[in-house]
Amino acid sequence: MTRRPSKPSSDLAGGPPGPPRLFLATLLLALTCLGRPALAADPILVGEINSRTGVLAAQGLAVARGIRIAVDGANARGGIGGRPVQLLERDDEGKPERAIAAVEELTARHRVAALIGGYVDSLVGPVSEVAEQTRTPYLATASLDERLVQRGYRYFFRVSNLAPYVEATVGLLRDAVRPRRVAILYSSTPGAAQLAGRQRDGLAAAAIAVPVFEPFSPGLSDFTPLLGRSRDREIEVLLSDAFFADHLLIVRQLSQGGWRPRGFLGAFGLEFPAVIAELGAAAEGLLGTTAWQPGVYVPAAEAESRAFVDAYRARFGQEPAPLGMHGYAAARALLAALASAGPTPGGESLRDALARVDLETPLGRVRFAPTGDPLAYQRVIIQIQHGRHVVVYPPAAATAKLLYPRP
Amino acid sequence: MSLTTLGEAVVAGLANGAFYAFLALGFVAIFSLTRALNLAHGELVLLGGYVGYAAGRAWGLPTALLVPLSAAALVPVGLVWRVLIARVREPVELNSMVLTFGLSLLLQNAMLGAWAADYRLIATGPGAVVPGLSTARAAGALVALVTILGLEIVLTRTRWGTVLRATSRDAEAAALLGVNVDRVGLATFAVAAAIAGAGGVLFATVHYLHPGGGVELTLLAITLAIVGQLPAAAGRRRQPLLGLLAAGLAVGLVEALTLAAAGPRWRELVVALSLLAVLFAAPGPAERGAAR
Repeated sequence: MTRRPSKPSSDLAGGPPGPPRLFLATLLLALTCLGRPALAADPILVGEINSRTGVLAAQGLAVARGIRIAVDGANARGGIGGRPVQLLERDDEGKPERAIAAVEELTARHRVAALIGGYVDSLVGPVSEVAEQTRTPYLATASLDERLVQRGYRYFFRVSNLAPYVEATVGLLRDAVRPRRVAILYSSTPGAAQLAGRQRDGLAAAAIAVPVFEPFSPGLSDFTPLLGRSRDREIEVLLSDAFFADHLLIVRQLSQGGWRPRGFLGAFGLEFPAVIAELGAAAEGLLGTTAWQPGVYVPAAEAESRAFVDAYRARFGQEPAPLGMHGYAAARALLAALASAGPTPGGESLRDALARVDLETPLGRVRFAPTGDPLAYQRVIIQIQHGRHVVVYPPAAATAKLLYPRP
Repeated sequence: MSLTTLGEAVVAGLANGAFYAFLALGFVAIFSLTRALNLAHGELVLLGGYVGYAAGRAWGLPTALLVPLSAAALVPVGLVWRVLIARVREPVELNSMVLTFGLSLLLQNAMLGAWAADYRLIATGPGAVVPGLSTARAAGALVALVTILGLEIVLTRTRWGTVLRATSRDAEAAALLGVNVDRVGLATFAVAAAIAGAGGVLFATVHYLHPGGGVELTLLAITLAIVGQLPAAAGRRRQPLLGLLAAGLAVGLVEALTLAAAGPRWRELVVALSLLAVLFAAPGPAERGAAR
């Protein structure tokens, strides 16, 4: 007589056949896991998506490092409610499809409590779409496109917006420089195009002519014909709504081409220390905008600014890029929201907590309008003088006198 | 558009175009000899630029010295490329793309590790040769013309050139006739890599270096290789590299004139439409047969 293989204990106990019992056991286990209160040691997962490779890697890394400093600081102080915050870092490679893949993985597989990061709207936009669908709060660290806050999305927040760029650049030209003719060259990205349009309107209201108003696609390498056209129209100030790399080319081609407008104002990227390092003497007198700068601190947050710079240097062995503060301030806001969102932060409770955030940071006060736009974001005008950045506008924030025409 | 602006655009376009052809030269050399599509070509150019950048920063060398230095530094890389591509099985076009795509990622990450994601420039003095044409661009164009025309003479007027052209047409037949095909291959890859290295330094004097910037250079090389090969495809080729130079000059000229006349928003569209027009206007297979 052959011996039958032994059955599972359920069969021996005379219970129902295997599959239903297995189903019940699985269901019970799933319910147990879902309903289990978070243990003190369980980390709070936050998805961080930035460019670590690709053409936006410099900006993405700066933002990511700022976020890392803030999260490490919070964890060193005991985390949130005794739970550490774990960053799940993803590289979007500067490509929307990679950003979407990353956010889908982070929300579906890891069920992160929140998402943070982003530098350009072409990446922030797609991430915000998936975040909204999955009801995951997303705090963008840099974003300008006005359409992103006109969609009625509940889970989208950002720490930067367009209006301060317009106010700072138009204000400088209207109040301090007062040129007769300005050229606006702008990158054909949504944020830059909107900025250029608003600047043209603002300058027109101040009776400043804009005879050259030209978009260009990212990747244009020879600006000589555009600069020639600006020279032909007797432009006094070149207003460039382009990115860091474009500025390097434009300024270099200006210096190589022999035409020197009286002023050069770049909306993005001229606050980077690398501008001075790479352009050398050609960088002298360039005007840019910044929301925060190492060595140029908002008085109310000077101590925190210094602590950030020290922590950044200690951790990464270099000076922080200004964009790092966008990452840091956004992460501080998210950490504050996590702390006030209850024992299991995420979804609706975290979204409401973010909407309530009101926080002083070195970037300024961080709080959000119902659309997700920041209410107190500001930018000032900086100029490169004697190999360093100084604030020249508005007068209340100025640390040095504006040099115009540029030396 | 004023006559001055038009004149400047023509000069700048021709200078840019000659340099474009120079940047594509290494890609075309490897493709002509092996039928391998080197998708890491742009990264090789960038690597040359970074080598020049590092040497310039470390020793303060002038650009005129950085060009040969970088060219020499990339020769071993070219030899490694030769060894790897020689192992690729048929179909060479397809399999070489897989191999070199991997190599391009490898080089990108190596450059990212060595020089970070920052944008780098090789410093040049201010000044223009003529209005609209900087000294740096003029130097790039001059090096391009001298190299392309020099290689053209070597290919068409010397025994070595005959051997190289014979090998690129039919390596097996050339070997049967006593040509050392391996040596020809090594020499071609060494020259191609050296040109990429020199091109990288000159590129960094007019553009910036970034580890992620190789794709655009590779696409430029592929485009010029296709357009530059059209005279050969039509059976009218007498000068192997002049087609490439003509393609570069045409692209540079169309680009600069569009920029000057209509603005940058039209640049890509006009260049793309021009290239499509050239491709469609080129003789088809039947016409090519008749031409022969």
